[in-house]
Amino acid sequence: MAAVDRLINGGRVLVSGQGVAFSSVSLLKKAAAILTKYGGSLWVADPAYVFTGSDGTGAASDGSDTGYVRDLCGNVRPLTQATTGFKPKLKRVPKKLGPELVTNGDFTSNISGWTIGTGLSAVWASGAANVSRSGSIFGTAAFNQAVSAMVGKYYQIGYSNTGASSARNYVGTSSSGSTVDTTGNFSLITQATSTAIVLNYWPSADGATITLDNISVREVLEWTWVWVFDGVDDRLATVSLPTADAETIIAAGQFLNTSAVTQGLISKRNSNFGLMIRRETTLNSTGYAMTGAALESAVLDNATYATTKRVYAIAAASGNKRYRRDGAQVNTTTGAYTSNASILSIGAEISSSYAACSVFAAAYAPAAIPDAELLIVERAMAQLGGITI
Amino acid sequence: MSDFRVIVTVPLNYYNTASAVGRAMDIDVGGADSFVERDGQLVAQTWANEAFARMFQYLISNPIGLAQAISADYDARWPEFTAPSTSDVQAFCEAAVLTIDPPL
Repeated sequence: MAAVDRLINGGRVLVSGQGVAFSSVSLLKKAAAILTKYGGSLWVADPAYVFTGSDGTGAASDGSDTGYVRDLCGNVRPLTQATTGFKPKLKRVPKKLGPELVTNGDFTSNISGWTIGTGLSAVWASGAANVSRSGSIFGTAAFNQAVSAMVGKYYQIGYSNTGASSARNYVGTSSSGSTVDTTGNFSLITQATSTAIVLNYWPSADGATITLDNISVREVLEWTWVWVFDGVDDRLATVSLPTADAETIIAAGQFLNTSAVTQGLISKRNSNFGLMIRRETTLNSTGYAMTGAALESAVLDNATYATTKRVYAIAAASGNKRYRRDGAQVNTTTGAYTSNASILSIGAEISSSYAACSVFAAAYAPAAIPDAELLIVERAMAQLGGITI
Repeated sequence: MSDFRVIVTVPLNYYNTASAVGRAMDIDVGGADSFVERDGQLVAQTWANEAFARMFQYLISNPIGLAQAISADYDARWPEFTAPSTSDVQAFCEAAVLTIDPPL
């Protein structure tokens, strides 16, 4: 057998003697190298690169304000936000979840698998469970299911209630847990303190009916980080950047609601100049690569995926504009491209159309990055967000 | 965790005082931009931990204390600017509507 000499240099592991060159350079480093090659920038939601103060001071952690983000391409273009009220939050969020632990939490055809407590009644209704209360209920009487858990592990618990606003969700063991009255979609991360997570639901008002669906418990297997933009006034931005003959913008993230308002995810745009990715009032996501005289655009995603985690990219040069989603081209346009001298903004269209969104990473380059290299950058961002491409 | 939502609303004609107050109340350097026009009013909002939210509530209800705090901050961080007068801060506080939304 041929001898194997391992040479480790700057993160590269070279295996000689077998005609093989194996690289251990992380995908993120490769992405940064590609963007650096094109004079670009890469920003990642991670405490290693995020600071609370706009001057780059103040270590960030889960729940911190984001005032400064280092650019992984030599910190040429840091993102900043100097006004505390406009700073997105850095949040630790689940990246990969384990299998579903709830039995029949989507109530596809019946409500089997659930226990109905004394004083309550429950019926299946078009893929949901209607739980009603009549008179007083005592103790832990509830629409109920217990799932197995491991002490110390984290679990994501979710459900929706489209019925009465007096839904009571009691999550935990039979003697402890958290209580929330809410309607709409509810999500909670909890650390198991016993070998069972008990899901209890009941209407807190006598005579009320709650309509439950999509009840879910899944173990959090892996975590990641995001910036959460509030959709009101939060944004991160570079200083003003010059125009360029060609440009690329990329953002990995997720819109957090289905409000019928325009929401800018990433933008270096003004009027008919520059690039932008936003979600429209139709809930379609659209890429814009302006001609200088018109808003040339192409659909990136339709409304069905309005809140799906995605990696969106536009690489634009005159006569060749590529609109990409999750590592694949989904559209092209062929008009002229006219850049805009302005800040690059994340979470808003410069200073309007704020987006309620979470963003894992974003990038910019003053060049139209070729597809093959763009795909590496997109894969790195997808990996950060747990997005399969 | 900073999960309390603090919202301050004042009429548009308080722009200068609102900007001056915002400059001092923000621990970062962009506080003067905190108030933005929305629906015909000036609105500033931020996430805050409970202690900060309660402190803000206290200061809005105690304009003289707020004016003193602003003046001290201007002395320390903004010597090139003139702090708003006590009477301006009092008028601002009287006109301000403060809302604190607790965590969901």
